[in-house]
Amino acid sequence: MAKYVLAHDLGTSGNKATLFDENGRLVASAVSSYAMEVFNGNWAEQDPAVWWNAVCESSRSVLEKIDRKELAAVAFSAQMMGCLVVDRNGRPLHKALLYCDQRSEKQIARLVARTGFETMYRITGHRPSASYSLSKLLWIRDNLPDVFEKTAKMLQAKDYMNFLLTGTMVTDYNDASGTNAFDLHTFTWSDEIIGKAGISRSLFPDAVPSSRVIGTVTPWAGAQTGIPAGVTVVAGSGDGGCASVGAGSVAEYRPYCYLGSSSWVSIASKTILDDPDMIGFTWAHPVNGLYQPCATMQTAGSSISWFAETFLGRSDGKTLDTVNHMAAQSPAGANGVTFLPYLLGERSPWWDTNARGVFLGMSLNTGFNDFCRALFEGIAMNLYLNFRPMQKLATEKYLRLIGGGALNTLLVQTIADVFGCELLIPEFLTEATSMGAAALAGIGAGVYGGFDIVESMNPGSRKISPDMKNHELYCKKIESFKKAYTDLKGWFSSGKEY
Amino acid sequence: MHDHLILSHNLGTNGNNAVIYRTDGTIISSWFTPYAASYRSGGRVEQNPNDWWDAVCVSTKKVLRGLNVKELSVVSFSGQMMGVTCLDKAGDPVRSSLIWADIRATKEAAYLREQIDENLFYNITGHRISSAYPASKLFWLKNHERDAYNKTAKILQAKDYIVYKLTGEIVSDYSDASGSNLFNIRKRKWSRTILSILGISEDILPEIVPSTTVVGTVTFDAAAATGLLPGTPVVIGAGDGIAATIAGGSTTEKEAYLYYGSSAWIGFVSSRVFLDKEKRTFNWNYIDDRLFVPCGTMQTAGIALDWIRDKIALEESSQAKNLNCIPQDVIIQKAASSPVGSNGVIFLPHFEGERSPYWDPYAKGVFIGLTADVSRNDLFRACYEGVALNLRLIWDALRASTPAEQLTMIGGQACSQFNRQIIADALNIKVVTNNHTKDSKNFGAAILGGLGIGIYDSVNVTGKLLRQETETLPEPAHAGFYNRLLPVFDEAYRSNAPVCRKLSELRAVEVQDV
Repeated sequence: MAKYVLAHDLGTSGNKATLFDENGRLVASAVSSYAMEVFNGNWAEQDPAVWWNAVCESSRSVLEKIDRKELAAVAFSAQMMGCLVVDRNGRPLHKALLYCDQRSEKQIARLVARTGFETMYRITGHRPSASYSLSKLLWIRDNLPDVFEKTAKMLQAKDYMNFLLTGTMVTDYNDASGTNAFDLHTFTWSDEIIGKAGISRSLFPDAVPSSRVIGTVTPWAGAQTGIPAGVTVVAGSGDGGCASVGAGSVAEYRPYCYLGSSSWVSIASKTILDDPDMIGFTWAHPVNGLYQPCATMQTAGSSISWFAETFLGRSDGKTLDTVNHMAAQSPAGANGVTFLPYLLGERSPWWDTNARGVFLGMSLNTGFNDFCRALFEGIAMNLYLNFRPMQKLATEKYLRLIGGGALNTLLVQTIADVFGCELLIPEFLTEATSMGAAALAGIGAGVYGGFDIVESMNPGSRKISPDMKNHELYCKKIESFKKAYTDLKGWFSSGKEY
Repeated sequence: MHDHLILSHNLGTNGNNAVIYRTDGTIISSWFTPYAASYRSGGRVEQNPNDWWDAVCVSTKKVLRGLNVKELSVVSFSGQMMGVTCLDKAGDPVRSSLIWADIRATKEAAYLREQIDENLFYNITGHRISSAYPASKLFWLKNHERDAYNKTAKILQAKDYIVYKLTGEIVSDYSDASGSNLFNIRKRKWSRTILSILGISEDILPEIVPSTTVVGTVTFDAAAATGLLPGTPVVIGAGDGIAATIAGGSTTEKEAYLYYGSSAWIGFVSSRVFLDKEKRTFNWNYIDDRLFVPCGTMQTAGIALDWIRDKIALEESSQAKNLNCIPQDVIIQKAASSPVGSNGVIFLPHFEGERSPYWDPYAKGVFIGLTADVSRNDLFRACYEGVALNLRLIWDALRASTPAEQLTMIGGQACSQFNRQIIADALNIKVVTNNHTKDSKNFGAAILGGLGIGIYDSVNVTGKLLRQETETLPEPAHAGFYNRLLPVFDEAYRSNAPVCRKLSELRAVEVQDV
């Protein structure tokens, strides 16, 4: 009886292949790295052949650890919001434009002028932006007409890998919801937006639930990857969706927070989140029928490493411990010092590319410890502003926390105190996306009974309780934090011109 | 010129510096004796006047070692201003002194503001109403410590108290009187209007004399305590802001100077009071009954740089130990490798609220404009630029009344060529230094001493005694850049001010009016 599932996590820096057994235990993993091509300032591409090579290499490597006849299914978690155009035969016509590629600002501006910003947000659950696939596809139409003329479909990274494995060309709801062209209310491509964009709906692949079996590994693909021909391939989903699953946010109103270089808070819900300020955005959840409201901040962990390098002036292995230790010496509230963590501008809650980092409120009594504490508080308060629209939905009294940042004890405690709720930290912090893909593969192929498998894949290992006295203080400080941004917004937008 | 020795004392916030000068201004010996200030919550900052006296006794003995005390012609003073030292009828201190940094009297200053039109007050005294001045402090004592107030026969400034201890005479000088918020700067008399509002009798205030006045001679008791000869003439001297003005070489409004030490100010001697429409600057009386010193001062200049050194530049401090240099050298080396404009980082240096130009007791220190590619070097440079840009705003206010085309920079921070260049660029003006950069206040006091006993004919003798040592021209491209940056800096303060105030309230710290 086949009992293993193979999960691929296809990122921007490499592909990670991970095997899980029938009990959801991690058996083996292997990484195959590649680079991102960044040029012209904000253009970013990858050759899909590079992806495929990495998938083949890491598959072979990881499959050596088991009897490959016992492999039941494969699924992908992968980078989202890209644009890979292929011809009728599925051959790539151009390198893939990645999520961070910003070349298509003009295209999205023109589309917004025709459709309206809020209309697009309402239909797709996302703010219209050059980050999403549709805008990139329009850039190809406007700038590479020869390529566009031959384009039969626009795919996401995992969709193309699935096509190479099975010969089937589809996408899943979760990835479709990252294109700016998908109607989140009906789970179909939006005729309104695609019509206004002036392109054909046929360019978009059929979208299916993330746990749907889409085919089996072909003999050709089997020879390439070492995966036995005939193994089940499940649609899988984008890495944002898979992270939710891996974090255990698989039932309605179960919130979680990912804490890495960037950070997001997210929840699973039956409805699209009512968010009149458009702070967050909403994906289709990999659990069929659910939505995944989400809000992302740009620099969380990366603020801390920047701070260590810049303010502490040291970057040996102990710097983060030092920052942590020093922050602990300062009282909650950091003696009035406040940090706005907008080192790369900000997405949620402000959506302001002009925003900048600020430390304010220093007096002669301010010590370095206060800077360290303010750093953590600034990150936590910004996350909380992002979480607030979702908070009223949360039925669980605790927030699940994943990502490398969950190892930072004081940051974690600060988040608990600012949010005023208990945190649940699972055993594996950086495997959530792979676990999400594994769950989808296993559920699709019948190895796992349901999404509860995540509880055994990644059981909670630590609970952090909030200090409610600190929470009271933060409830006040967060108002100053908000005011600081609001008061400085004008300066941010005008202050660069000199 | 027959050679005389002049003993000059500067009574600072951190200690007493004694210097013996020859007539030509050369230094024979010097000695610094530290004393402490007590900083307490609610903006209370006090010093024990006996500590001042003890320090003066110690430094005087130290500085006289190996010299023939008979050659000493005069003792003269520079001292911290704007304090309140209460003496009883017997001439003993009633309580510790409230020094300049004490800003407890917020409500008293607010009361004064309610009782008199602020423009009228500015016009009478040459200063804003503020809790930093003796008027509000004295009124606070009257309201809160009635016993001490009733016992008080006279209030004096630091230098006046030491002069009293040396001579038995109780007087003060024009410059210190003009820093009281109680003095009519043009009539050069205590303001009856203000005294009657506060219900304070003029009897409590000392007689006012020119700063060059020989007020008496060293008594036998004082001689025993200090090692001075009885009968040595004692000149009252001036407040340290005015003593520095002398060392800054300013004799007319054409000659402006910048003092850049712990705090920083720009000033110049003028025949007229300068009243700024926005009241960003203020005026002292000069050493006599003719002239004034328009001035704009910021709270934390060198202190802000020291703060960066002590709180952030810990790595540089340990590097400096290995390199056998001072931390500031390492910091400056790093700051110098950041581009003009510090890669977009702006630093607001208002660590203790701010006086000129904003007069905002809630103002705070701020780093703004941080991005992922900002480096440590940028932070350091931004600190120097932030102080310089605040000084530029002060300079812009003062420029309405001075045609000066260069600034003489004195004070400890003037020793750094890097800092001089930033000042020259940010203020777009030639910066020069002279041979009394570090001992400016003592030098000014020494000139007053020499004038008092007739060694010098005129304060203009500084034209001979002060020699230019360095000259720094603004770099046109940099100056143009700072011109464009200035409104952005100003706007950064204005945008941060409301939230800094709110944070102060949140902390429930009693923030006082400066």
